[in-house]
Amino acid sequence: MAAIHDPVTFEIIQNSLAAVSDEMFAAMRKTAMSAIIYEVLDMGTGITDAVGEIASSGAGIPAFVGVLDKSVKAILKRHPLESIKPGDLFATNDPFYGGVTHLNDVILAMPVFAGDTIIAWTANIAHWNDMGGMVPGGMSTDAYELFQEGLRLPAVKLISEGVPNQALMDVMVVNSRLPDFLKGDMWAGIAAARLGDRRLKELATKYGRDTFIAAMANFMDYGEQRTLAGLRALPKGTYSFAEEQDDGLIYKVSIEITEDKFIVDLTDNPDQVKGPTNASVDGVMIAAQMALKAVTDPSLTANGGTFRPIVLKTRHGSVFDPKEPAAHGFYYEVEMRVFDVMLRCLAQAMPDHMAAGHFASICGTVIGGPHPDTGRFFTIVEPQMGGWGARKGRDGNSAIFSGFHGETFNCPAEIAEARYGLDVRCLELNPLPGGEGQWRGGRGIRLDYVARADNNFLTVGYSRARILPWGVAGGRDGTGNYVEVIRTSGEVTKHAFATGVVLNTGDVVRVQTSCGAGYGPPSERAPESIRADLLDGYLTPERAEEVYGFKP
Amino acid sequence: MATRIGVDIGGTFTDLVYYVEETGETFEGKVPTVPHAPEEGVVHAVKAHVPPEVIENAAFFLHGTTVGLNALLERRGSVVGLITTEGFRDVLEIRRGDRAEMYNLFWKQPEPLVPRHRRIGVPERVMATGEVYKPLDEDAVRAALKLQVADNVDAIAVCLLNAFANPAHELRIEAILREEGYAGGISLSHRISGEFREYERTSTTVIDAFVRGRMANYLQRLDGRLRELGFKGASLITRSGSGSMTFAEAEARPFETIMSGPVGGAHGASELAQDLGIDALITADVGGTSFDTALVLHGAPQVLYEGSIDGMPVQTPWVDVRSIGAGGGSIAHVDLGGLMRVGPQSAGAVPGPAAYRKGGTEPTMTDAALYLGMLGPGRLASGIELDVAAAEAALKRVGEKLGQDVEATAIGVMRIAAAAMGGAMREVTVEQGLDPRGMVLLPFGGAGPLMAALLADELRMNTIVVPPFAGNFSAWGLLGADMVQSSARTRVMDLDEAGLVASGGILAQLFSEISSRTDARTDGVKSAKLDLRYKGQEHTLSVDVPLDGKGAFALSAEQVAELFIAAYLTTFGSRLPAKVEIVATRATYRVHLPKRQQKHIVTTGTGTGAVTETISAWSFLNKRRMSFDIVAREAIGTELRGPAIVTEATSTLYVDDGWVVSNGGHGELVLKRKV
Repeated sequence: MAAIHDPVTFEIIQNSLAAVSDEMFAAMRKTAMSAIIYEVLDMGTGITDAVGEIASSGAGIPAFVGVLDKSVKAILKRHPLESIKPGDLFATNDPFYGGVTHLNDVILAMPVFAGDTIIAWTANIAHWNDMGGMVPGGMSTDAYELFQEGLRLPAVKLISEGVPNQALMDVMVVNSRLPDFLKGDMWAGIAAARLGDRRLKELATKYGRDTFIAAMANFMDYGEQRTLAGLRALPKGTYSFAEEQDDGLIYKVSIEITEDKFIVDLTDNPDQVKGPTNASVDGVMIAAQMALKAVTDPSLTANGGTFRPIVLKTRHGSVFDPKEPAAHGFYYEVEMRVFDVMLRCLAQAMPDHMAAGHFASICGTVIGGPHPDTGRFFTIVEPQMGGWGARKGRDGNSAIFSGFHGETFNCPAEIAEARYGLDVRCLELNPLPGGEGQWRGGRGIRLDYVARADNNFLTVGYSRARILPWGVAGGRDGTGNYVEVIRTSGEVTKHAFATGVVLNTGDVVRVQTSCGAGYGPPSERAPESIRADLLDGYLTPERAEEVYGFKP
Repeated sequence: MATRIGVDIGGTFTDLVYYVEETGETFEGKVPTVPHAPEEGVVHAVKAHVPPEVIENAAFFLHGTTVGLNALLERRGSVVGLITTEGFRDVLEIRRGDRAEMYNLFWKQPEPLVPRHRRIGVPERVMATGEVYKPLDEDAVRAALKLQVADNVDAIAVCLLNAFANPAHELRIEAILREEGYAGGISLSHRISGEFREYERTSTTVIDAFVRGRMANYLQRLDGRLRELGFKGASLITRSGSGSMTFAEAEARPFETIMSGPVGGAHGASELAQDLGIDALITADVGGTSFDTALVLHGAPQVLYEGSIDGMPVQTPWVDVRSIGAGGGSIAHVDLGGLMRVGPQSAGAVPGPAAYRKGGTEPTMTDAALYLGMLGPGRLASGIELDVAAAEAALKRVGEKLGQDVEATAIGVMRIAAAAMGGAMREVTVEQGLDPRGMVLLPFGGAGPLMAALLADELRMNTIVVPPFAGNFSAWGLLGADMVQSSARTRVMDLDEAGLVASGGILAQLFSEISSRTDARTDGVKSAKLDLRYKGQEHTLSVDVPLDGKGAFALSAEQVAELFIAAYLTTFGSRLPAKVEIVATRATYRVHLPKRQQKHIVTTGTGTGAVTETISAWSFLNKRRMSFDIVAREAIGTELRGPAIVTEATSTLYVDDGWVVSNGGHGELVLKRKV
């Protein structure tokens, strides 16, 4: 059957791709075993075309959308086309083999065949709780080699023509501290990929294989058109920016905007580091993709075409393009930081459009140990919410997840307490001073976890602890992200980047995330807004007088 | 004793249907909605269409309303104060931390219904097990009340952490508020939802407090006006989760009526499915601005246990009706990337589609259908003559941007709209693992019959049933609503014999709590569901568990597990080697209203088959224009073969080539594909 080049048929197929991605997302969420997948939604689903260009993705984390295409491309690079058969399913988690992020994020990808031709891939990514490694949960701030962060899966066949590779699965299971979770999450991912495979085959049968392929190609062009329309509206030129990081490194970016290109140059950056704060070049590409998306077209359409105008330049051996076997455990903080640097760089081109700095950290918090009721090992892995920056004309949002997250949900206290071996004593907006301005930043959170057993451990990887969210046009900087461990003795220690802090019964872990930064001079803030903040307790009378010069 | 009147208030029209027991006849009527005083629209409809003796004899007045919903959407409700556990006053503002538009860094979070200064924490703490960790500080409650009263609250919501496991502190707070002389509304979270997740439960409790005053006012005014007209029967309102409740109970539990609006259509579909012996049908309610679809299986709509309004979750049973912004008034336009889109913006009733010539210049779905001949000559019952030239001019402007002629543009509008509606229909079928191809399509609403053939094509369905009173079907559906009360409680336990016994104890408590509510009845039927999951998972499936004569579980734990495994297999296509656990127990108490006799005013199969005229219209089957016969609905004889346009008072049915129409036994039209 010849391809029908009919815009309406194309649009129907394109909408169906989105529907199938969402359907895979829902199925995976409902069958997964780990709270970080089903409750926090640290996962993503998507469809690529035959060569691995992303065509559609399910809801969830925007930073995961750009992962799946790179994984499929890595699989295609490693496996000759003739060796890929119907019913195959591949797994990768290794940033040097299309894994993009860190070893905890496992990507499963399945080729979709029409006859003997691959017409698409279905894929998903999810944070698996424990893939082995030197510490429970895999992520250690002390790691200096990828080998210490878990089992590496270098884009390998997990299922061959419908038959599971039992040897590989056994190896994965025995390497995990949480084997039941690993099995449950693995089968949830496999079922979701297979569900997508069935749906895409139905579509190709209904409309014809060639029409299906043409519709995907057309969709990519459509994505590109949307980006180009957005690019045309931006001021052309080359902009540069440098920013110091918590660890003292200086990240530099130069962005050139032309009529049809978005050129991001990261070549002039520090060498890769010994610790786990490196990001793969694929991962850094995602930061560039999100920056482009934010300034050209914030709609939900995102596919291979959307990102075609990006040219990314890096230096092999740098923190943004490390050599093997660099550790990657906290790659996401590196991506967040370079994303911020890109946004600050772009703010020079459109100062009225961009917001002041937000708390901008995943604030990954891991607590684990023996469960006080059952004695079985538990871990809670949670990102945290924080305050966002003000922008011209508007105060910032309070307590939402960072820009790298989207449809991400916190774990309710009532669920955390019922499931994990700890109590949640408090979750509220924190009143720490900072982020004032004509428009003020949103509030960060204070969240208190209380250990219920001895010998629990805490791991945190927060950035924007020392270098604060930046104020704009006279607005005050935000506060920093950190954790306080308050011992039963009253002793208090402060942490932002630490592994294996021992917790005993009654110790409190107090998460304090940053408020966003302010925009415009505080002296210009409307008195009724100051009064409202005082009434609601977002501001103390002393601080109101000190920063705003406000006397009731 | 079962003459009854049903009134459904829509955005544009207030629809009325009534049924007279003595003659078994059903009548319909429509009046314009009165947005600022919806009860006046109801009174107009009743006065204009129902004879006084029928009003006097009517046993039931059944009502579907969006009063509560609109109060929420427009943020016009009570001044609510919240009392909560110390340390958790910001749960309502923090929500779950998610951002609805994931690529949009400039997204603005919604304002909470209660501002921070009226959210007050009090020292107390109950654990998930129900154990009291910290006693309630009663002086802090009194102090909180003083602050709330000083802030002029009309209603107080109380939501404490883990109150579903032990409500003692919430009950004590209520007692203290009353002791201190507070006379306003109080909403306690454990009475509203026995389920966990503090944000969702707080949101539901606050919504209840927010709409309580407005809802009570409205219901009292409406009831009073009905009594003035001579009505002596029982006034009932539909629940979001299907069934109906008395006005008195709705005043006590207003959050249960928030989504009462689209439920009438789902009820009507269920009743028709039972009468006609249809095992599986999909509804397609196409109005002016929105499209609603629901699945009816084995004569009952599907019920979910959580919904969301304007980003705010509501933990209450909820008929699974999916809505999208596509309808007769949806506007076609060209987007940033050069693709044509239809909706969600709607021309509404004002200015309306271009063809109405009331000032609308943008092309709508109605304009496209008119241009393609699908609406016949375009004479509406309301007397409006649609203007084809105006529709053509509007379509032409959009077509030029795409380099398409008017015909291709109009066809595109219809197909895009149909694909979007088909997507929503897939959500309620295909995405639940159910194949729509063997199901029946039930189109209604003003534009439902117009879209029916296209929607059947989308999901490759082969049978369409156009119900009687298709244009007023939601109001018709209200007439069959049983009275239903329900309650649920979360308590996580293994599904073994001991767990099932404990769950049985909760079930008995739930039934006893229902029977202590306002207007409790004793002549009903009990039923139960358990929310079950594989141990380790979070998401649950609700499984019906049969009860014995005394209202206790009639199955063993093993048999219940088998039911769950079968349901899991249907939904997710797999089974796991894990244990099953109980998460929540759900009790429902249903009082059946007397059944209507099955007689309708629409004549069956006696028409002459007369063709009044023909029109050149687009056939989506043959991809060309053809001559369509125009036939009045009452003129249909034993069989009518497409292509044809069937006209009736409140809607127009488009019958593409390839379909054969016949009269059914209950006033419905049955369309089947020619084999």
